[in-house]
Amino acid sequence: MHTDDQIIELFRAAVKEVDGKDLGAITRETEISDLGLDSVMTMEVIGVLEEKLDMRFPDEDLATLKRIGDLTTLVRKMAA
Amino acid sequence: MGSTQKDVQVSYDVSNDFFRLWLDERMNYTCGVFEGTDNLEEAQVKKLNIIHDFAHLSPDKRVLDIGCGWGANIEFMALDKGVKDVHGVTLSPAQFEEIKRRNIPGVTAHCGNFFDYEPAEKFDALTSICMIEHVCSPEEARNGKAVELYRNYFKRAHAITKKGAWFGLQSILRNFVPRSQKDIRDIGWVTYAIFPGGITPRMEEIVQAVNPYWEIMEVKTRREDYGKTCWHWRDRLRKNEALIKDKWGTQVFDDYDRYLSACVTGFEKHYQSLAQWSLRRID
Ligand SMILES: C[S@@+](CC[C@H](N)C(=O)[O-])C[C@H]1O[C@@H](n2cnc3c(N)ncnc32)[C@H](O)[C@@H]1O
Repeated sequence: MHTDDQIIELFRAAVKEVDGKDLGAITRETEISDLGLDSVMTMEVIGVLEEKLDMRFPDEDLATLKRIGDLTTLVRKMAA
Repeated sequence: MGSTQKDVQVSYDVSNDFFRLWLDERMNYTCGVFEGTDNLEEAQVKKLNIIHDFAHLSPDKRVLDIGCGWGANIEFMALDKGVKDVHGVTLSPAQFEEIKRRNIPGVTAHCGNFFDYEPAEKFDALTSICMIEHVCSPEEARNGKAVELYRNYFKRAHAITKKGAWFGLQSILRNFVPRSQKDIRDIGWVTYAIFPGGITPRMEEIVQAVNPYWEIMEVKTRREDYGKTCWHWRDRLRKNEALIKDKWGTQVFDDYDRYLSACVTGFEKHYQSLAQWSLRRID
């Protein structure tokens, strides 16, 4: 089971892998739309994260993700 | 409102001889059924038999094939199954020309929009093999209009059938959203460049949309069969590479190779699937 901080670190690594950029400070409150990723990149980041976590998020749950905290909640829900 | 006639012409009016080179001999431009065979011609006949049975057809029935392509299914119903009163409607003028050329006894074809089609008499049965993909556009789907548009299609189908009618339907299904940049771009490109104005429905949209007009009696998914079908099409396309490039240009060959490759991947990775439905009219 991953903690929120671990999930955030995996997310950061996934962005680095897809976009090559280092994100500044991110918290559960950070809006995903503020990270400067276009929609294709966002899906790619999700794909990399899914691989790292060895899980697959249902597509309809992705549509509701707004903040990083929504993502960590989703990951913990899936792992439960 | 989905694909316009202009859109449909982009998809189907490249050239009848072009499609003839890489489809099966009957020119089915939809998924075959590879049960006990690896042969495309046989797989297409198996598919046509399944749709025939799902529509509960018999020789005495009056049937309409919605989105009848170059006539594979109407010809099959009339000649192979002896159905006496077979009708087809396609929005593509090039396909309509091919149907006229075939001059099939017992078959009446109409070139026009299904939604404006007014038959002289109601039908006992309907078939429709992958036309519903043209009923809703990506924009309309994004704006939450999909179920309403598909329901309108089923409503129209209900209005032109008699009590007790059956409907053999086949449809591609949209499933997983791709995660890789290449796949997202390829699938998007197929949607906008090869089949403009349309988008494949999600299974749950159809399940909602049939109500209150049709009851789902049977449904069978065939994701892998469609992957195989696309593989065969691409194989035949590639075997005719030189001729295609010579007659229709390099761009046409490259576009169709890219599109069919994206489909092979799309079915493999669950981005798309296929379903065959047997529907019974709710009288
Ligand atoms: C993928 S093709 C399938 C053709 C054929 N059923 C087959 O299995 O080969 C889709 C068909 O739907 C037809 N179509 C699309 N929109 C239509 C509409 N609004 N009215 C009538 N036909 C339509 C196209 O002209 C085309 O023939």
